[in-house]
Amino acid sequence: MPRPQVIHQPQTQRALKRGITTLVKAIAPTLGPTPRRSIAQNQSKFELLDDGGTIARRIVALPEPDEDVGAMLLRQTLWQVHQHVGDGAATTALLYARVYGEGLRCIAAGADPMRLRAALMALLPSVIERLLSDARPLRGEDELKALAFSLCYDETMAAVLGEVIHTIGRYGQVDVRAGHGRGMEYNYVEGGYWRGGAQSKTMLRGAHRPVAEMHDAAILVTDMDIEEPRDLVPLMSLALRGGIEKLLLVVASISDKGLSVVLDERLKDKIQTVVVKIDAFHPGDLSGAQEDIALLTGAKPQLQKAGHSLERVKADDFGGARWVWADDSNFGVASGKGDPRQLRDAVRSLRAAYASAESDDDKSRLLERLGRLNGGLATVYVGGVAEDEIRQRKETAERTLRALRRAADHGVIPGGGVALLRCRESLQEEAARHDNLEARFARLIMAAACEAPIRQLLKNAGYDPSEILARMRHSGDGAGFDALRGEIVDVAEAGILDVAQVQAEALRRAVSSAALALTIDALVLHREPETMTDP
Amino acid sequence: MTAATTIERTNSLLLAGDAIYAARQSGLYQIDAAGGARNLFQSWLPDQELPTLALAAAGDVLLAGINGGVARSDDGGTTWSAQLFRAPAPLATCLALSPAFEADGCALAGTFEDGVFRSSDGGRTWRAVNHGFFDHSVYALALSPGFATDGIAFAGVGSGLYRSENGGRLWHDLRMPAGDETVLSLALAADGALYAGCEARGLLRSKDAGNSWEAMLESDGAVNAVAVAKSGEIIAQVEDGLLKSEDEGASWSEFAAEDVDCMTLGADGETLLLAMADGRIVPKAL
Repeated sequence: MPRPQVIHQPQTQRALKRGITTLVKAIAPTLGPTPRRSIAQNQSKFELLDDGGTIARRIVALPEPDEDVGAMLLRQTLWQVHQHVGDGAATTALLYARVYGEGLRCIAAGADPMRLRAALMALLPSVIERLLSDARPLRGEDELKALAFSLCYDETMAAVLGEVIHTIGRYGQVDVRAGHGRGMEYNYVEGGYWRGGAQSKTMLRGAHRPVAEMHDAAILVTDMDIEEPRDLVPLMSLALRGGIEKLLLVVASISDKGLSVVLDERLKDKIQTVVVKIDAFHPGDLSGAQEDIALLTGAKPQLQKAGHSLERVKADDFGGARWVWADDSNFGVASGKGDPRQLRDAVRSLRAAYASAESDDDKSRLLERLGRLNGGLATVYVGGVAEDEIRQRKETAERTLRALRRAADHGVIPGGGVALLRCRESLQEEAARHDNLEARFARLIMAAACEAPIRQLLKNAGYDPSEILARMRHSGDGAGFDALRGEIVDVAEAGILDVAQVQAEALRRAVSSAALALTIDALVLHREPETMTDP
Repeated sequence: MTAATTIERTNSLLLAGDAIYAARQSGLYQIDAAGGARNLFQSWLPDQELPTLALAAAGDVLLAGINGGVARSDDGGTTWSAQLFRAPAPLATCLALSPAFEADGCALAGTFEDGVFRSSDGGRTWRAVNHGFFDHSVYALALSPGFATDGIAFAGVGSGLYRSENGGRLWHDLRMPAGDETVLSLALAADGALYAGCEARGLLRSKDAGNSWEAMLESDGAVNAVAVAKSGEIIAQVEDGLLKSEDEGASWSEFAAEDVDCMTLGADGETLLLAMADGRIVPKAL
């Protein structure tokens, strides 16, 4: 196709549709409990993908520039859904394609694109409301595991993640790491821990995993740099006078000269000191960590901006904890001596901030702090045969965890496409009552779109969608299809669930983006278009 | 029953079948019908004192809270082994067994400074389960009669009360009318009502699993123990002795004026066993 070029109707619509269809065909097979994979070539490597969001991310351009525009419009929407709720890309793609495809037919039948878009956008909130009217909280560990399985289709992973979230709760923090074996392992961390290890290896003990552990330790937190021995001498003298035998110093930095004070053999006999530094990429993380350590341990942070000085530290500025540990990259405290009342108030404030936070980064930071203050920390180690497999399973585990957290926050709805299908019938009834062309078409488009995910799910499982949908209609409200067992079931009773927020977000973004795409009349193709790499 | 052989404080009492056990500073004692006390730890740790704070039993399994973990016997107290928690050594202050302990092996142990530890293998191994706790000083535990299926447990701590809905793995703090009051004792009645004895605010009752509360007994002093009889009578151990209410807390009368160390309700829900400060173990019919 020559460039530059301006493309007009009807080629615009046809090109956009071809681009959308190309992307949807790559993603649609991943929907449902019997997903098929796509393979992506990345330089000399091949990557097996079973997640719609990642597949969309790997497709950075289509060869035909006009089709590429359609594909990239959809790609952007899919990635937004994936980033925001961790799942639902395949559902979004199917909804988007159906809204766009049906919308084109309605435009061909005389609907005005702008008025059609307005009608779709006006209808969308009520359909989302209807979709969420069946939402309910998750009930127990078994439902969490069943939901996790419907998100990752990996029984071992589902069992581990279900148990972990059940144990540490919606505000718990899960650190997913690459494991060394083939399976999955997990452990719970008592208390809170931070990145940033002991500042000298001589503070650590043990050959296999060097670590410093102290029981009933005093803790001092400061944002000051310790450069000279004289900075520390008054502080250590105070600790000795106060009968402190174990001390954790959390500092901004410490010089070798400063370390020589705490590592002095004569002093070490009287007081075991571990000096750690918090590693934080964001200034807010550092102050948040200092504040959290202070809350957990009852320490009064010694801050430069508050005019504090290490020379003027008092005995009651030290906090305490039953158990303190540090290795070369992390340190933690458990059973701190902080005031439970202050801790409770701080957690309530953080939960409120988490609920109102809009960016994923902010939510993630708040969740880290909540996990530490609330004692809800777990580490999951994801193994595999090869590095690629481990990376892929790790991404799947992280995506599943994000969706499980959404489910814990906002509840679940009947799964297997049933909740969306339920919206369809009332939309069809409403369409018949409307005289306005665009309002009627909007309802018919939405009704058709709501059926698309379940049709694809049935197709992926090897069934005739029309036949199964007819059987479901005769089986009453709540009936759905268990594609793994091949039978009609009550989906709620069978534990087939979807994350309410994922489905709502998929519908919201798919309809609003596809409705906007319907209003595109011309494509302007530049001579040297940029390849979409963000994301 | 008559006087016991030693006069030392009894920290807790347990009536398991016909056997009476008393946890004391010097060890765990079995009290015979004549009131004689035999230290069950003597054959295990001769000539040593092992301070014991809490007791629980199911079938032949007997658990005793000690410094560092629990002492466990699976032959009714003849032989013992120490099942230690992680270091630093926690002091087990209270124990609670799942009503289906013999099937699920689930037990919870509250500790003085280290929160709650949980065992799911009959008390052989223990893991700290402090997810959700802001306060790690645990004074009392109570498990729902349907704990094996509903997973509901309560923990009274130094600054209030916590509820778990997943078998004691994750804990949520409950708002109490007394604010951040220390909860020293807990009892669950047959009708599901939860009674919480506070350090300075008397006795509270919740009929909705801790969501709302009503005052049952106004008291400036501590309610160290509470028991609810099968008949519905409420017994509260306060600093001056024992009080009893037969009308859901509307009025209270003196039940025992003597100095009582601790009390426990028999499995029949009709007999109260009292450990007196003079060493006697006294049964009292309700």
